[in-house]
Order: sequence, then C-alpha cells, then structure tokens
Amino acid sequence: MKRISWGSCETLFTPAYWKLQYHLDHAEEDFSINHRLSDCIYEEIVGCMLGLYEFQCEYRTEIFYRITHMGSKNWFRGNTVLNLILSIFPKFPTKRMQYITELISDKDSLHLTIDDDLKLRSQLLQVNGIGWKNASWITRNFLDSEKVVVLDSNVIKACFKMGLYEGLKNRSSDYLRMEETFIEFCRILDVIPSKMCSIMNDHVRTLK
Amino acid sequence: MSGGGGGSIPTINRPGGGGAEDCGSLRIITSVASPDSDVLVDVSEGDILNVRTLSNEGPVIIETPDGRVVGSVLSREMIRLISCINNGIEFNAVVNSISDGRCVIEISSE
Repeated sequence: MKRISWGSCETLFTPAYWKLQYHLDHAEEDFSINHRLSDCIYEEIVGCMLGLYEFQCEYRTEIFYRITHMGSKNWFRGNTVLNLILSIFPKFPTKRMQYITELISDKDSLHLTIDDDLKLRSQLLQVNGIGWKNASWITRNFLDSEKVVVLDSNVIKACFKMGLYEGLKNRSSDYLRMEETFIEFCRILDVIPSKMCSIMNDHVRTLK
Repeated sequence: MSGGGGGSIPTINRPGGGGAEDCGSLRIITSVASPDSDVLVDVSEGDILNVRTLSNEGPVIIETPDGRVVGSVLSREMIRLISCINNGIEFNAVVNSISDGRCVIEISSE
C-alpha cells in the first residue's frame, strides 16, 4: 500500500482522525448491525433493486414487506411482483422495474453461490442493473462479509482525501484496487472494514 | 423463511443528523484535549470560552476571551460541530469543572 501521512486526529479525514473516531464509536455503542434484509438471496437482490439500501421510504418498505410475505415460490410467478409494485407505487422508476423483471425471468440460470463471498459478488455482477457497489452491498449484507467493501462516493472521497487512492481513477475502472487498498488500510488500523465504511460515510455526508 | 432482517431496513449509515437544522440542539460535554497548563491556571468554573476552528477541516480550538488557546476538542460529535461552524453558527463553551489539569466544558450554540 502507498505510504500516506498519519496526520493529526484533530484534523478531519486524516488516518489518525478515522482511527480516533472508530475508537470513540466503539467506546460508546455496541455498533452491531444486522445488514441482511432477507434470508432469500433473490429477495435481497430485489430489496437492493427497490432501492431499500439507499432510501428508507414507506412505499419501498411496503412493497418489500408484501413480497417477503408472499413466499418466494409465489412472487417468482409471472407478473406478480410487477403488479404489486404498480399497485403500491404506479410511478416506480421504469429502469428499476425492468431490472426486477429480468431478475425474475433469469433467476434459474444465475446459480448463485451463497457460501463464498467473492464468488457471489462475481455472479451478481452478471445481473443486469447491478454494478460493483451494489454487488458488494448485497454480498456484504447477505453474508455479513468483510471480504468485500461497499465503496460509495463518500467513502471514496475520504480515501482520495487521505491520498490512499492516488493514481486511481474511479469506481467503475478501479473498484478492486480501491477495495484491496481499503481492506489493507483497515488491517493496518486494526479496524473492521464495514464499520470503518459506515463511519466514513456518515462523517463525509455530515460535512456536505 | 423470508424477512430475516426482522422487519427493519438495515443501512450502512448510522442514524444521526449533521444538517444545519441540528446545530441548535448540538451539545457536547467533553474534556479539553491537550490543555495548556499556563492558560488553564487563569480559567475558572463557570467561565465562558470561545470555540472556533483553525480551518474548515479543524482543529476546533477553545480560547479564552482574550484569545489564548486553552486546548482543542476531540469528540465523536466533532464532525457535526465543524459542519455547523462552517455554516456560520457560533458556539461557546462553559467551563463545568476544573481539577488536576482536566477541564470539562459544555459546548453549545447558546
């Protein structure tokens, strides 16, 4: 990993700052998070496609609640989910709807592996509408994985700020190198990657 | 079985504000970090100290009304405090107690 300055814990977004904030967070709360939306991987994917990881709004939650209570055998049939979505939220984004339709029709050919973090993420990348961030997000949530990292724009910004990502361009071209660097950074700081991600996201967002 | 998340929606973001609207309710009780003992001898319980940042990324420093630096702030809420100060909200710190070189202050925008 590239050598970067430790900095002062009194100054925002230095490695020293992140280590301190992680420590303070742990000192004050248990900080255990149940990431998983569902025990069914396909429901987890639909939850992601519905936008539940990003938006906690009532109609998305209602749709997801109704889907999970149908049982997977039922919601995989025909247009059941699409009809449900439209009945609750007629203006649901067309693109997301299309991804959900494709997931339902292609699910038998996906053969998702749910006992191997990296393999699962790699398979999820084959699903239309799922890029690196969402594939990592589903994997992290479903398997409680620390082998993958959810690099959202706030975390990436924090890492660029520290100089950790010098020479790298963006998420779509450099995701794996960014992730590898982030995990190594967390190992050196002796912190858990998913928790460090959560703190970084929270702090960068607060300063916006 | 479905719905393993227990009905709640997990998120990587912890709850908590940080927007300008939260600045009025922000209250931090903490010890002054790296206190300067030469300045601290002139500070008493009940004193009102200035709170300011040296840049928009910190550090947050605590000063006497005549501009001498007592020390700095290291807190979990430091990010919210800096965000509020950057948005033009003014804060001050009331000295709650001083003993054995430890100065406990309460920071608020009031």
